[in-house]
Amino acid sequence: MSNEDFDKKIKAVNDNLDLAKKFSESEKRLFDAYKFLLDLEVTANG
Amino acid sequence: MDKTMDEKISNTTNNNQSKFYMGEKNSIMHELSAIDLELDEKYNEILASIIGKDVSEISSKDFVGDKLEFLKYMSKDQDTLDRISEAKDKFEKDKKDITTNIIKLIKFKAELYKTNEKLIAELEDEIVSRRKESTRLNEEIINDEQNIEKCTAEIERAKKNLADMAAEQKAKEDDLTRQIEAFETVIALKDSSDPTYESDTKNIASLKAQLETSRQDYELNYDKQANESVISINIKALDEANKRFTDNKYILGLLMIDKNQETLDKVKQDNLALYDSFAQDIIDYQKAGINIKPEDLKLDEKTGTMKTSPESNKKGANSPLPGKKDESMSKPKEQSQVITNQNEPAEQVLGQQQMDNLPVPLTSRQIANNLKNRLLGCSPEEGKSILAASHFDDLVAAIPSFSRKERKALAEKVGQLNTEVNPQKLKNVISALNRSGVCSNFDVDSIISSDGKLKDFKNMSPENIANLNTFVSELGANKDYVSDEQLDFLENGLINNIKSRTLSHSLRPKSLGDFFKGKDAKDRDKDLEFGTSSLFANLSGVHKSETKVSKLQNSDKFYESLFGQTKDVIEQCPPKRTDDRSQVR
Repeated sequence: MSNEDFDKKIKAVNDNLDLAKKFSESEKRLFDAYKFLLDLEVTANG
Repeated sequence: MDKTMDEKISNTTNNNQSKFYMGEKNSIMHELSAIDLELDEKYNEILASIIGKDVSEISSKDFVGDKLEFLKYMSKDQDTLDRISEAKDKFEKDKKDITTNIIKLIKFKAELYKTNEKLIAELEDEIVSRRKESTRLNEEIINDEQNIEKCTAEIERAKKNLADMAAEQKAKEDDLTRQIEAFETVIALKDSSDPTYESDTKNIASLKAQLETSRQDYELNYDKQANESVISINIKALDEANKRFTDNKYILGLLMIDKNQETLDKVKQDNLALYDSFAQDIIDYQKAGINIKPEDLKLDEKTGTMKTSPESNKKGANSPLPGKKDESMSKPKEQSQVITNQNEPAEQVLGQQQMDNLPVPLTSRQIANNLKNRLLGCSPEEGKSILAASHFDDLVAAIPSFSRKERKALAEKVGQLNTEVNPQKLKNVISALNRSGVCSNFDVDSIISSDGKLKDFKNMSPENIANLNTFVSELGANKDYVSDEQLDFLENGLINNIKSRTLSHSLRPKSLGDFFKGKDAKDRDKDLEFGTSSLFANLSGVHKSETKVSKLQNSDKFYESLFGQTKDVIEQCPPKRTDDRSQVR
């Protein structure tokens, strides 16, 4: 494996981590929305 | 929630790998932003319906951010409660969609984690292979350094030989030339009728012929050609060694092992952090009613659970997550399985019958006896593996309990197993490993003497023995970074050598006192009578023929070798009082 390939793979791992981080942020927003709807439900049911 | 968001995430998940490798990460991020925006709109829509306004009137993000507080405040009003109830029904499907998408996102993250695991494994393999290559290159560099030194010395020696030969030839030619000139001077003064004229002329011709022959002989001289050939061959070898040395140094620089290892450690750590985030997230989701199971993520494909990592220990992710039954505890264990759960009685885990069938662990003494018996009846090859056995220390510790006959047989066997090590090769391999960073700064000179021979380990200083132990344990820990050939050489050449020497040394009683310890008078007499000559020969280093008891009793050499004193000095010393006797008195 050349150094260039090595660096490419490291970059691939880092890009995947960045992507996972972005997905975590979206996941968090979805979860907040989900919790909001749950609260809505609880409030509606008294 | 419409299908667009669902499709977007679905597409993002399916295409991520190919998109990622094609550098289309930005496009994925763009899609995610769209999803987020849509979510904001959705919040606004819900809130608008609750307060009975148009969605266009609710656009402030701050307002959305305070949604829960807002909801709490509004819920005091019955009309709002009615609207909340309507909104709840209206957005029931959205809740399901959100759940689905959360699960999709977390699964997608798991895919990213697994992809990274594979990439990291490839990179780790690469580092291992580079370390091996580095060790090999370092070894070659050391060899080349030695070759360069050797070739240079050979060239110098051959050049000196040639210079000596040239000087000798010149002296010879000068001598002949002087003789010719002397005759020519004399003959110039003579008349041709002089009776010595003719003989002088002949002498000159003869001397000139000798001069010519000497010149020709010198040119054809075998030694001269041999030396020239030595120079030529060594210059070629020197060039090759120099070129390889330079190339290897250059390649070594290109390997960039330390830098790459550092980068790899960093991404490995980050990927573990990603893994750890799953554990807490899943607990939170499960508490909120989102049914995501650890096994759905297939993070560890073998067990279907989340595997252990040092980081995940901190968050307690090792223990089964809610909803996941710990199968390893309920599954019947096989007999060979090691009981690792220290907090639970073994009987509860295995059942009494299985407990009864478990093999009873061998004692150190039994292990030592097994090793001894195997060693006595083994081939040299098997002997090496026995020496490498993990219970070697038990064998050494049990030696005092072996009979004289067994010790003798063992000593002979171990003598046969001793492999001669090439100290220079050993030095090169260890130096190469040091340079590669596999074993930290082991001082080669502590085991190899200045004359290039392997030192006798039994005479090594405690510091050097500690140093050697560190080296051996580091070698064990870094086996992956050492080539098979180097490992074989070190195991056979160094480790087994140390062990066989240790064993040989342990097999020899340190003193007569130790040897006779625990034997009654009858046994001692018997030993003295039958075993004295060979035993004393071994102990004292004197020839067997000199070890007859009568001779020994008067031999200073014998006393000196055993007690460090001559017989006279020993006899003058008063008997030493033992501690036991003094206590009795």
